[in-house]
Amino acid sequence: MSSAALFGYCGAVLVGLGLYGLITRAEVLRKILSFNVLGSGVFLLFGVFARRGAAAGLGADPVPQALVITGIVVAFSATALAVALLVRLNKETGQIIVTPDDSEESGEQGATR
Amino acid sequence: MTLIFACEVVLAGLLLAIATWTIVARTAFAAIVLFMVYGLLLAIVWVALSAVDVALTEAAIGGGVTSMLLMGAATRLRAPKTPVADVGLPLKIAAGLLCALVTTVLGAVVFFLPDVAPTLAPLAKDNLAASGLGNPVAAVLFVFRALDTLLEKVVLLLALVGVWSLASDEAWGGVPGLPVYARPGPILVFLAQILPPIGIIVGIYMFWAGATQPGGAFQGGTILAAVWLLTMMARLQDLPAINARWLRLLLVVGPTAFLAIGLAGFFIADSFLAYPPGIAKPLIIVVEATLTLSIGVTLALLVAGPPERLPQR
Amino acid sequence: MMPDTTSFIDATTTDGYLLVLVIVLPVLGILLSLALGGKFIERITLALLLVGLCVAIAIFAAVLRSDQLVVYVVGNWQPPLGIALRADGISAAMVLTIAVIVFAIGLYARSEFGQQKGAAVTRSSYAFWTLLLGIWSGLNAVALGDDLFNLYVALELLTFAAVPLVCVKGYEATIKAAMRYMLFALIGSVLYLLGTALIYGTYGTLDITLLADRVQDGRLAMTRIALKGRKR
Repeated sequence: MSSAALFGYCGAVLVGLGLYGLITRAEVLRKILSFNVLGSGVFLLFGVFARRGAAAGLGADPVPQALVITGIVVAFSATALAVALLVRLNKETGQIIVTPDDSEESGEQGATR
Repeated sequence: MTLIFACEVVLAGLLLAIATWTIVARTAFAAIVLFMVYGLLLAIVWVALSAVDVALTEAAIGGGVTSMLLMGAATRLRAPKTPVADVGLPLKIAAGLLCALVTTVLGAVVFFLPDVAPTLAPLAKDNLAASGLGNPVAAVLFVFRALDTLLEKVVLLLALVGVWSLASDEAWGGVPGLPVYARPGPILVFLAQILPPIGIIVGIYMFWAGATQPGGAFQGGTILAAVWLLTMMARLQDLPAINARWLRLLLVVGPTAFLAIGLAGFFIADSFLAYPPGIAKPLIIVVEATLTLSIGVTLALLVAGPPERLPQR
Repeated sequence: MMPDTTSFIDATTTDGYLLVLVIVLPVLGILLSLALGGKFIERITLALLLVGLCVAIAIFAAVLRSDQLVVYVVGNWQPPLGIALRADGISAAMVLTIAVIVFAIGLYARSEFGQQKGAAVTRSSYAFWTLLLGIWSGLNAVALGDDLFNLYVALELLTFAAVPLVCVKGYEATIKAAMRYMLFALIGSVLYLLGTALIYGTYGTLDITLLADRVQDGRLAMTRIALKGRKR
């Protein structure tokens, strides 16, 4: 097994872990964390393909590396927006989860802006 | 099995253990601390994959500012009146099966990869001299696929506008609500006085060296953002009002320079985002320098969050 | 620049610069709105939307007239190394539709988010016009993009512009809806990225036109292309 393949399996497990956390954790902050783990697993897969593409004296294919850098920055801004939304949601409703059905909410936080 | 491979196996195992712990940790605080550790371990994995630029970015953004952001959120969230109910066991089992399936499929893809891989490395290497840079990843980011980087900068700015729009009407134009220490301890103040000068030098050097070695505008800019946030959290500096003119100018100087040079490419080179052959490197350095500043300010403001109070007069 | 593997690599056509314009104009608007602090943002946005509508009509006319694709190779770096923008009949029609609809939205929204003369810009008005420009740019980039990762960035642009717009009025129900939309959009985008990674790992390119050829060619051609990658 080459080291690229090893980290490829690692990335596959991380994708599964992140997806599991995203689905099963009820709190939004934990969902955002799991999304970050999932994203890093996908980037790791990109990295595996970069490492396998080593040629012409370069240690790894530079194109996937650039894509991963862009992806990391975009994922961070997604996290920032999601977190700001969550803090606002918490300020308005006192909740840290999103419920599928509005009618289940307790009525105390019903004030609109 | 060589020693290096053994180390990589240990590293991969540790990474998966920390990731699992992050997902199943009981409190949000523990999960975020573990995520910080996870980000730093992941940076080492990237070095093992010979992707040092990515390792720098992951350490700075993944392990650094993302954790800062999440920690700030965790302190700001009020606990709900009724405790959060856990999802039911059937959903957990179904999700577990689905994720096991996804992992198996991806693992099989990795297993059945052919021995020879398609790669763009030779193409990139051949055109590296024409691009004017020495770092192939920087060449891909700022020359070959510059449109991606331009759009990515726009994405960053739009996310910032989106974050700002979550403020209340009264606080618009005011000061972000970044959690700061009410009484910063002496150690924190000491660190916040020592680290920023070092951080500024390291950040600028990282952008400068990124033309020929691993590094670049994103990594350097993130370090600048981090030390600025540190001084603000230790109350050595006040948070700026988001309407401040200097702040707005710093935010846009990077993308504006990038866009202007790109549009100039219509006339002085032969295409949008093309550089004239002789002066490609100086132009790219100008773009990267302004982008470093803008990225630093943008990332710091993304962590700081939407404005929450008007500035004191 | 690229070895002889496939046929379809068009050079930039004469009207190709219009494709760049229609993506870049809203970006100019966003930068201006940030720099000026929102002073003239409504007028800037409407002016840009009008110009963009003319550019979209020009693109549509160009595609109709020439009866073939309008192509722009950004930076003159051919795919697979670089990125191309491509407008065929459907893309041109989409760009025109987008421009018409967004312009109409802009005109209609003046009653709701219009700025009073001399008054300071409000939060909702500033957010609305800036994010509208973002949506317009993202939609155009999605319609004209010919590169899978460029499409990913454009889709993220769309998401980040649309989610705050959902809750721009600030009501509690809209904030909840925006949070749900954000979570689903996050899942979707990261899974899209996973697909892109697998496609790159298999075919070595992200350009959609090149992929159309390589996917058809099959396994033998893949080995050939991979071996070409190995040649010094």
